[in-house]
Amino acid sequence: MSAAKPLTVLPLLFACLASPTVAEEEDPVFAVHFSNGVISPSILEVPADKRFKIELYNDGSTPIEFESIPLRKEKVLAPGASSFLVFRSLQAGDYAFFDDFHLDMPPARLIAK
Amino acid sequence: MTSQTLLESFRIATVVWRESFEALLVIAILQAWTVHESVETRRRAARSIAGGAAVGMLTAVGLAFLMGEASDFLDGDREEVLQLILAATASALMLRMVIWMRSSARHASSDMKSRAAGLGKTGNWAALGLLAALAVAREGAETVVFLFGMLSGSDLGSAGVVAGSGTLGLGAALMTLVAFRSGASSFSKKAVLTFSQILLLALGSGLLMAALDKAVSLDFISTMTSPLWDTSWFLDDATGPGAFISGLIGYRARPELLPLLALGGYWTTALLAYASPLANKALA
Repeated sequence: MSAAKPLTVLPLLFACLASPTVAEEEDPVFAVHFSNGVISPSILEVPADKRFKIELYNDGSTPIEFESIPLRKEKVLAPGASSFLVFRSLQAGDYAFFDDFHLDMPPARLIAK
Repeated sequence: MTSQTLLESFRIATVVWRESFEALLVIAILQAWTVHESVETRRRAARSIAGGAAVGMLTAVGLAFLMGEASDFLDGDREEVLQLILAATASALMLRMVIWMRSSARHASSDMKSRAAGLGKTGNWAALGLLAALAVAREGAETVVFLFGMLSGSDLGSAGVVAGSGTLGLGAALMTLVAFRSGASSFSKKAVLTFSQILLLALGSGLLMAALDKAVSLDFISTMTSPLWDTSWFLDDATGPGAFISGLIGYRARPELLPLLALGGYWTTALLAYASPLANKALA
């Protein structure tokens, strides 16, 4: 893909930004809680090759950032905030994710199977 | 100051430094390009960059507000779509800037005046400003959420600690910029240009991979294959320094076919700018 390509799809992307996204009801939902760098559960099992949702809660008093390059996701949450990430089709595997604002804490793992 | 507060303060400073590093590196590169130019060109460039950075900062605060207060608006996919647009635009702009730099150097390297005139042509000032704005807006929003979050979770002490440590982090990042700039003026023009072009292209490839990740994650495109190899034993992109480097230059430990094709296309386009006879065609 040449670098000019992203620019040509911009209008399409703006359209996506404007339209509401509809989450299917039967998607499995998993909750992950962050508290000042502590991630629970520290090992999360999810279905592979299937759409699912992870709800993120920041229960701590400091901001957190869910980050994982292998999972292709990042999300910043202020203290007390919550949000979610939608995963479309994750290949079976063992993925590490971590709190980018608490790098002194151990990373957590997401296992898709 | 207890050791606990000291540790917290150090952490704030590091996070702010890390988050603002990429943005400031881009600004430093853009500035370094004009370090050997005429006073007038330098001023004009500095104005474009500073203006862009200011717009970027306002955008960052606006985005931070959307991420926090109006979180429904940027929930789930929309934030990813927005990140995709910002990263893709910045990546394309970086490639364009380098291609343009190369062609302007080729056509007028002996003549300072026409070179400066070339810099001002065809909306390059706007591109310069836009690139600075995008760089600041992308990382700035996260920094703002982080700092406000630290302020609101105030069991770690006074707002002064947060503000002080944040300033320290930003100061450290600014020192990096000043060091880069003063280093740039002591090296030859050719060395500065080559080095900063390579840096900018590396950052651009990092942004291209970030944009690609968002597009795959949103199911706009498929990765085409499973990961083709695994170099995580050497440098793991999942955590720590490996993740930082991956975010910056686009390294992936387990790349699929599509990311490889995208990177190949990106660097081929970039190299075309260095192969003189082809470059003119590529630009036309």
